[in-house]
Amino acid sequence: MPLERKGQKLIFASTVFAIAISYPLLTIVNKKLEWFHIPVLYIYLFGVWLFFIIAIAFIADRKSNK
Amino acid sequence: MNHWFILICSISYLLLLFGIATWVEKATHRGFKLIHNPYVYALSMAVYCTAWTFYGSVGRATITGVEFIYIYLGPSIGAPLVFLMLRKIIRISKTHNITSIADFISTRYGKNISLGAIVTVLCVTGVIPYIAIQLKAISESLKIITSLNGNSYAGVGTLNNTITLLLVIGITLFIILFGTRKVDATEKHEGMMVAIAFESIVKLAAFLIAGAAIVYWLFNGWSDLFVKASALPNYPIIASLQGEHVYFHLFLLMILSMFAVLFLPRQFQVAVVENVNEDHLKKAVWLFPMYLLLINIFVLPVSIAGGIHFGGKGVNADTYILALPMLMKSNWLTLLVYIGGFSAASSMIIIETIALTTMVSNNIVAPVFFSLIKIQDTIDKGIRNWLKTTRRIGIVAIMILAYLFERYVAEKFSLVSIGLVSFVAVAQFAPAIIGGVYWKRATKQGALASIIIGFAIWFYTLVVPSIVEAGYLPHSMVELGPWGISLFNPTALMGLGGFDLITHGFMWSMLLNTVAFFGISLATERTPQEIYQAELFVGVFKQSNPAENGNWVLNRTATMLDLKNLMLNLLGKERTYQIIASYEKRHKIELAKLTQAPPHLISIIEKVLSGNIGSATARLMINNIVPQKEVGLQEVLNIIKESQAVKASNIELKKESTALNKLTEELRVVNHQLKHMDEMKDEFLYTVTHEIRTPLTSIRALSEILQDNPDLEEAEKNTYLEAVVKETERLSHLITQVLNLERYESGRQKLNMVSFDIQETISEVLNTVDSLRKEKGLKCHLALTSMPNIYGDKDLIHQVIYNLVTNAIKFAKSEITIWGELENKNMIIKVIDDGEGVPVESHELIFDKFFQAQNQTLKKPEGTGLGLAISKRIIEMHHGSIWVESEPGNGACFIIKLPLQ
Amino acid sequence: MSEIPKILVVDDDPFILMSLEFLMKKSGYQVVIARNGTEALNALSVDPPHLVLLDIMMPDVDGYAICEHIKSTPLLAATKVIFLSAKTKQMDIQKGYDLGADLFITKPFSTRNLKQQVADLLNKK
Repeated sequence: MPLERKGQKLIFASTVFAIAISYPLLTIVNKKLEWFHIPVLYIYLFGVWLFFIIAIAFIADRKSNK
Repeated sequence: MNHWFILICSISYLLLLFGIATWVEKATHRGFKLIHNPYVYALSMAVYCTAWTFYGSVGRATITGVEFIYIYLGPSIGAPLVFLMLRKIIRISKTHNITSIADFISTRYGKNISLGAIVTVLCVTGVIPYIAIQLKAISESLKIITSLNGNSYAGVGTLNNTITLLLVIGITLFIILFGTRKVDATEKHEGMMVAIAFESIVKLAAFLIAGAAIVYWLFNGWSDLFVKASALPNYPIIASLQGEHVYFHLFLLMILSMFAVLFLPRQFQVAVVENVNEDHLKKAVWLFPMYLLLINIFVLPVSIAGGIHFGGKGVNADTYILALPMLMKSNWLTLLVYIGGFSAASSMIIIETIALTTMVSNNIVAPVFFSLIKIQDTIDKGIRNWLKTTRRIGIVAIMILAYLFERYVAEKFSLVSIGLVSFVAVAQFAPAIIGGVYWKRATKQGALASIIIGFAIWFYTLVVPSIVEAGYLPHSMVELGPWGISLFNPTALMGLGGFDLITHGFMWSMLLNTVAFFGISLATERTPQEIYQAELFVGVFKQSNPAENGNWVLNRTATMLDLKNLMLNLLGKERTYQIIASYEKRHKIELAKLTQAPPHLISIIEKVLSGNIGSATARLMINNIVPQKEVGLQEVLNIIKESQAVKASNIELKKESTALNKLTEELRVVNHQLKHMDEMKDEFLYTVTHEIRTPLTSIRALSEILQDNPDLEEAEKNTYLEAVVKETERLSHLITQVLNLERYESGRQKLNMVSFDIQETISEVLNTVDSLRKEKGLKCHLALTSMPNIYGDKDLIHQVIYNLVTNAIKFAKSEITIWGELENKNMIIKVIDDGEGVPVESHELIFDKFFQAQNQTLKKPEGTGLGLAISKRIIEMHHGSIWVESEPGNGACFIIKLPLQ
Repeated sequence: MSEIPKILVVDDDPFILMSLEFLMKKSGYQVVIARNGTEALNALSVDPPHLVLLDIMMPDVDGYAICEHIKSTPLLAATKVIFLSAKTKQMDIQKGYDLGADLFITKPFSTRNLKQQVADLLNKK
């Protein structure tokens, strides 16, 4: 059942990324750190976000081999 | 900028939307379906981003830093979960012609009218202020864009209000024109949806262009901006998240926004009602988060830039995105941002209004209207015109409400978090919907209690504090609690303080709401109708088209005359005959000949009506013509049982056929094996007779010679007679061996197990073959070390060793060696010759019956060709093994490995 | 044909070879024997016989190959071939005739018939 498996992958991705942007992992970057003067927190959140989107696109929207 | 110029631009933009929608509807009519496109679907979902996003995010970022992005991270990270659930909700809604959240909940819990009405009232209450702030955003942006232009004469406020009103009227016209064109849920608002997708592009493009211009034009890129930001007083807030319960707050914000993206009426409208293809979810599941990411990327920079340029100058942070381009003196950029904000506001207003209107007309107006009048009196032209009129009135009413709220109420309230307050309101549907979709045991009472309790707490913890702030209630209420009872303080229930209002309100309302839902569901019983609906909802992927599928149809009767009258009255002539024709065609029935309507048809009509007037009202109408109004428990149970029986028997059949297939396959294999064995047996027999023929030939020929030539010399005669005797011996030996082999292979040979000295056996064999060996002039080496007694059939082992030794003698050039030793409880015996050896490819084959005879490249054996096959069989009977090690030219070594026991 | 017909007997079984040699000599022919395929090919190249009594299953070169050699060698065009074999399958017999054999006799055979059949073949021109 490809859809069942795909669904499980999606739920897994959601869980992992939800953890990545929550306590306590978030405290790692929630500090006065900067990278090229930009707060690391800001870069981290958008980075994780973008990475997540790519992962989801890869899982959900890959052309099925027919 | 000039008021009139702005007005003209706004009107032009609206006209553009009209143009797009009109063009799309015409194109759709011609078969060019732009809406059948996952990108349009994903973009239309971006109606999530309203003016509150467009303007408000910057303001929120100025106060709380990156906290705001959790409102967008939530739906992004949750998109997979949300979309998996949406797939089910879409399937259910399509199956039952559900048109709104209210309809969804009411249908799930037994097509209950009061539940639908309550959900509708609460939606309207929770969402009207949200529409109002869109209007406020339009009027505020107008104020900003025109104020810095020196137009500060007395009438400016009135003029702005007039323009806002004109734009509101324009938007209302758009909604009426493109949103009420169709009233049936099975038909989509193609024009409107494409226009909304277009608006999504406009607002995103406007924000990205303005953001990029500010970062790269007003500043020298990101680093420059953040270097300058470090001087801002609110920089610590921007750089990191602060606050006592910030992580808890962020977590709840994430959950809250996930619910919002499912249950906001506008989201339900675009994601479920307007969905044309479930597969579009696959694209939307990542495109929608991508959209959210893009529209947020410049929010913080704009907030910083605004802070640097306007900090402390009394400019509202909500308007930075508009004020900055004006500061840069770029008219086109200012206009672009204004249009972007207008598109964000108008798209939200359009969809939210449509969604609310459908709810109001299907769940409040229709039930009231249809229970007050008799069907016979209804409108001649069918229900469509009546519905259109009702909806148009509804749209106007909602717009007026929102406008009035904006003009007269909004001013007195802080609107900063009105969006989130609305989110919390619609999140109250989460238990009833999610539970209803996955949990059959959920009851109507549970859903009702959950929604009412949730809303009560929502109102008390989030609306009451606003009313207090507006001065309509004493301030002591939020400081000390009502009548000084601190446990009931709306901002710190049970004394649980220290949270912001949204966290506090969301936490309490969701907690009690969920507890009520499950607790009361478990404490109450479901009516048969609820059981039936629960089966249909939770098991939606297991049924196919229940309305048309015999298994799931309620067994209701009505006269054909009543049903036809109902159809004519509610659906009009055209649609009635269309439905009847397609039904007759599909079921090959002539309905005119029937007096009683088939239960099928009644279900189909109910479904069609559901799309027009809501499922609860549709049920009401059908019940008017069905004598037996209430569904019996037994009947529902039968339906469920039957469908499960069908399913079970299908599974059973499948199992049986799998088993049958397996059996067939097994038989095929066995048959193949038998055939192979048969062939082998034939081959064996052929070889045996062939082997017998050779000595027989000699015997016959020599006998005939002797008979025909009595005058032979004595010596010659003797030679021939000897040959005859020898060949006869060979023949009988062959027959004995064949019989032996057959006995060993069939397992009829019983082993006579005794403990015996293998050394003795080897000596005996060597004695027997001594003369043969000496005849060939071969030397014999014997190397036996520590050979204990072994347990086995002495005669058979003797036979094996005899076979190997005679073989070795046959092939050896100068010597043979017999070598024995003990190795790990195994006896190893090697019989070695120094003959030609055995080619590697034949190492296993030589143990086959008649291998040599069949292999003409080898020297014809002097024996029967069965010796090795028999030896192998005997050793195997002793659980040992036999094999050969040899390199061609270097002799051969036959090895026996026998377990001692 | 004035000279005495020459017969080549090929068989790897010594007793069969022995009896065939005796039979043919007794019938008045010149007899050459070969105990395997190689010897047979040698004998054929030395002096073409009028007839060959040919066994099929031999360890080195089998009778079919020898028959094929005879039928494809112009010098041996007049040489008759009789297979004498324990192979009794129709398929094997057919193969023998397909290769150009004049007769296929299965073992065990009647010596009296064999003498007659050899004589007939040699008389047939």
